Amino acid sequence: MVICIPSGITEVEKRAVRDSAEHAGAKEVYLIHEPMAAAIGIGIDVEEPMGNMIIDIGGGTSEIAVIALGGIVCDQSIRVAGDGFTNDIWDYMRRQHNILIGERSAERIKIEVGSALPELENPPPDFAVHGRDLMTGIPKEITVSYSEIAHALDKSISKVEEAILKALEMTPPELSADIYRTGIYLTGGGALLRGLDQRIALKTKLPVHVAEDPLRAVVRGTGIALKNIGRFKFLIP
Amino acid sequence: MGLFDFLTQEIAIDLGTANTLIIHNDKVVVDEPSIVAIDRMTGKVIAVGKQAMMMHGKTHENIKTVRPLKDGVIADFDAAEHMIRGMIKMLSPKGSLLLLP
Ligand SMILES: Nc1ncnc2c1ncn2[C@@H]1O[C@H](COP(=O)(O)OP(=O)(O)O)[C@@H](O)[C@H]1O
Repeated sequence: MVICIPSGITEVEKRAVRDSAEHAGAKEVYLIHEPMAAAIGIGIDVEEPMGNMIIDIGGGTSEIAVIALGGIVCDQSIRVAGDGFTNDIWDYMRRQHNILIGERSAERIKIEVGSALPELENPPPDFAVHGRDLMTGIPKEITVSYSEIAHALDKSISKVEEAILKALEMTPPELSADIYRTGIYLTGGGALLRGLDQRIALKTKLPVHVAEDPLRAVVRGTGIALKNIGRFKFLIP
Repeated sequence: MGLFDFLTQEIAIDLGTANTLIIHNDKVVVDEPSIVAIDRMTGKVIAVGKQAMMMHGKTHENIKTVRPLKDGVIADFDAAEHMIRGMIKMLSPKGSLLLLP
């Protein structure tokens, strides 16, 4: 069995994941770090002497990693990702529209009208959300547009941009040269946020590619690792 | 449980803070939110994944929903173990997933 774990995980936590898997009947458990699995899932040959930058924007963390020769060369991880975006929207609705909504409704808004840019070429239609009016306590409906959500998400997205710039700064120059050509790959659910690829491309002046089916890139890569247990040296036995 | 033992060797798991996915035989056989619902009285797991997600934000005092992973780390070890087990069970021979083509 191969299990993909967030790269910020401690030794104790690794032990816990391993124990749980063993209790569930697994005999041989290997662990793999998330950016590595994501890169493999995208179809990158991670063992080549070629640098690739992967940005995985998941629920809890955004992980930015430069991978070459079967290893993670440099890595930035910040606790700003999908859940943070959802929380920004929740907070914005409360402050701006005086409406208290549930976490799942906030996530729906993000998926339906979430945007990293205040102006999009193919804008989504406005979205109606329901919650509790903070003044009257009565259920009510509010319609939101993607531009206001872009505004609500701006601060968090800037933090992701900063982390990307930091990771680029830490990258050894030979690998920078590779990344100049290959660009940046986006995976994880956050990669689906409208305009995010464009915004990162504007900021870094690098080509940005969104992985095909970004929510499944990591598991696809973990599946490929499973078939190469004997060969991939970066699997943690 | 022989078949189940064999199965657990042949799976790949993406243990995410938001979603947990499992691949078996090149197919994604589990794709569920990383959440469990627990009975506060007995400590027993009532639901895992989508079923637990439906309860999220709608629980009364006897039920709590827990996301075992937070900020990319394990926030609740016990719940994490229940979740991993529950998700693996979803593809056990007793479940219907394996019968799908
Ligand atoms: N279409 C979408 N637009 C924006 N965010 C999305 C979209 N679909 C899913 N997400 C977000 O992606 C995150 C989950 O991504 P995922 O890669 O599964 O994370 P993890 O690896 O931490 O489980 C959640 O915060 C979810 O709200």
